[in-house]
Amino acid sequence: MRKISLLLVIVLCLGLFTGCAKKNEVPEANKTEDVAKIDSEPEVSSEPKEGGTFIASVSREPQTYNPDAHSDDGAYPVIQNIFNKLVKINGYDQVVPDLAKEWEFSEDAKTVTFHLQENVKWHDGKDFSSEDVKWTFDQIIKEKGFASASLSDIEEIICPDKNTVVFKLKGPNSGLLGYIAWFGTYIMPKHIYEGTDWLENPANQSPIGTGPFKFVEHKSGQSVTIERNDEYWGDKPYLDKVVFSIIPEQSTAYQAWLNGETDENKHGVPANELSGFENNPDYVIYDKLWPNKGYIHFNVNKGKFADLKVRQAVAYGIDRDEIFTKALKGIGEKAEYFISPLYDWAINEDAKLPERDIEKAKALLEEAGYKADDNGIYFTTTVDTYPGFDDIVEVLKSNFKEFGIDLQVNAMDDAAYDEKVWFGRDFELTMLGGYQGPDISAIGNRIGVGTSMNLGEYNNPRVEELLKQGVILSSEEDRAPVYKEIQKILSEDLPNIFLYEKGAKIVVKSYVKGHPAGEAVEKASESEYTYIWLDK
Amino acid sequence: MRDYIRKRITTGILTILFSFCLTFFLIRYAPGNPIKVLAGTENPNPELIEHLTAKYGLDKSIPIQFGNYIKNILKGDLGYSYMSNEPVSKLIGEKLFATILLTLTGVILSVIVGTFLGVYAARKAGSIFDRLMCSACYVFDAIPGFWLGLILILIFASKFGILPTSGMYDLRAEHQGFARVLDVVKHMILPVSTLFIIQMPMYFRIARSSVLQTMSEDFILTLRAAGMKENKIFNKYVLRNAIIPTITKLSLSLAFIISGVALIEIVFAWPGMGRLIMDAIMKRDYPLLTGVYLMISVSICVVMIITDIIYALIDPRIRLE
Repeated sequence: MRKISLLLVIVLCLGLFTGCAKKNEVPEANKTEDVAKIDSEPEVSSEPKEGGTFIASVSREPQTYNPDAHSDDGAYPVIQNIFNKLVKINGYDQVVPDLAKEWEFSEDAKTVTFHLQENVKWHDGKDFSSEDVKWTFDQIIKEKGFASASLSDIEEIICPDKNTVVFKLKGPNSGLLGYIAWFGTYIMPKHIYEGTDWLENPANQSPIGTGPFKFVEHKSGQSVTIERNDEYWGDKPYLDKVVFSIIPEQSTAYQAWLNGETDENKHGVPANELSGFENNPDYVIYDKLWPNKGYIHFNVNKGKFADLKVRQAVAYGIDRDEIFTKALKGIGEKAEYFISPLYDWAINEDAKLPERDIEKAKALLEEAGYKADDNGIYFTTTVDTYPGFDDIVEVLKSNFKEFGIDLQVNAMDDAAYDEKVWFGRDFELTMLGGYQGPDISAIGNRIGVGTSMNLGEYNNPRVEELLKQGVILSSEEDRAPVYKEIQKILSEDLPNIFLYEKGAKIVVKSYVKGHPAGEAVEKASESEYTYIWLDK
Repeated sequence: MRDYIRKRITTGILTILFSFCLTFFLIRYAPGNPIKVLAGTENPNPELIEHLTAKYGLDKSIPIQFGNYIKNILKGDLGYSYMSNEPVSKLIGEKLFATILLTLTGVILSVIVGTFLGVYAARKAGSIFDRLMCSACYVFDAIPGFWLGLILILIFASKFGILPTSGMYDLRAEHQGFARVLDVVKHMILPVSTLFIIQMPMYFRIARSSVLQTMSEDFILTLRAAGMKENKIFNKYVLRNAIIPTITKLSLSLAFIISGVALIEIVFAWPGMGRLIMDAIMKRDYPLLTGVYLMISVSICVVMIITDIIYALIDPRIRLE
């Protein structure tokens, strides 16, 4: 009996390996071929071909297509193709024109005037005008939409004519344009939403936008379909249709992509599979770096890390190289400074994260009054995390142990984390990350008093002053010294210890041209498929 | 018999009420806040949180929320999902067909094949077939469905390319009519096989052991001693007595049919109820969760009552108790 069971186990395991073989074969088969397109512009091929259906897998189901009321990561890729903003963020994290073809600030920087595209129509055929823009922003502010807190400097919006919108500000704010370009600021159709509850309007389930694609249908749990908007005011899309296939499991989505059932996998390729796609002419790899640092965030008011010496010990004790190579598999960058390397004009070379020095870390803990026990452990603490940091905290755990802190990991789901850490502020240290752009002033959301990501309630009056100055000034030359001083203070106060710069290697099938991470990087937002065409 | 049914229905209704109250309070007292989920993890806007908390009445105490919910539900209104603002009944309705299609097919296949093999193995107890099946079932029983599903995908979709990886329809082809039905069947093969492989062993073992047990009872020995033919003893007396545990297990499976099979649905991107429930839990979508739990407890009670009636019909001893 036991022998038979054993046999079955072996047969099943063999099944596993034969299954896996495919994954390794795909790249292997092509290794000898000479074409290597990695990180280079693919050769210019023939004229773009029109038509075809593009299938992209997404992990989460869109809940609502109201693009401004609240955040919905599931709907985000769809919304980018249906709606426009005044200005948008391209693949280089720059602010580029969208519905506003140009804009200018007044002398005192308290007024910004947007000149809109002409002959823009909503998907239902009605004319778009500056009134839609005014209504959208008024509504976001009135109904407390996702972006309302970032738009609080707007005093009044006026529409001198059909194609011009003027934003009057309470004071100069050079970060505002970035927020208008970022998220939760898509222009919505006034004629459909006015006078209704924008959370309950039926258009939330069949959206009307001005974007390159029109909404067709959403099959619950399965797919979302959009089709080309033939009346589009801008560059017309090549694709007939885009279908977003909802595949929650990452491994399944990856297989569906390899098997050709999908053309694009928004989950991305698992890090340990990446090497297989290099030197493979069927795929192109694009490097992407976001203004998005991952970091340890301390409670600077309560608990053991309220003591600066203990935070310094951590800064010396952790091994950022190990985190980068082991936990991040070398994707993105190791953090060196207190600001994203994308803002290279503002980097303060003197405010650098320290190199690892375990002895120094231990000495600092002793200075702080801690005594090591027989195992060399000074104290035990807990890091609270939400999903996404599992590999990183594993490395941190062993790093911490080496300089004498026993780090326990309390991994929670988002909702439980919010209750304990975001609302409750009940933590000693936690892990944070997320978009910190497109304007450099976005770091204010993480270190400014009372801001939404300053959970440890760091408060430095000089930083407050500098953050205010930073948004009043507009040229990079004037702003650089301000942000350099902020970095210097951060390196002294250490409310956060930065570990890495989030990046990705985006693997695109080579027959997919005009990808927002590739040829269309300057023109398209992250998941905008206007320029995609299929070369097959 | 009428008393018996009345008693069962009363117990059923009480069970539904009790489980409804329990789940209502349990999910609301559990840590987490649906409005914070709406605000997102990057730069959540405190104004938005305050505004929506008031709008959805979440600033009121939970007993008051309970009162409001009861008022609405008496009007037949299960409320609106916080996430999409669509009616809960619509969200549940959209998933019912796909869920039942998948789970019911899996259960029916498992119960028929499993029971048949179990009965056959019991009759040939000790044979090579019996020993082979028993050990195979132990192995299958120990396999996590999630893992098995991925392995089946790797073998049949990736390696041999004969079956689709996931989903319910071919998104490129958009078949119509009969071709569409065939398309769904093709997409069902892998998830149903996964369900079959992990559920069948249970029915096999139940059938086998209860047949073996019945065959060793005294009255069978008496029948044999009286010279009755082995086939007649088996078909007329053994099977009827041995089938009760299978019905119990089957009814349990049927009761949970509308709750779906979350892990299998996730692996195969099947648009079922299990995924809806997991999503609702992750996002603390209280109205949706309460609605789903209510539906599940009603379906469990209805199936249980029907099962009890079937018991009573098959085995008169039960209704006399």
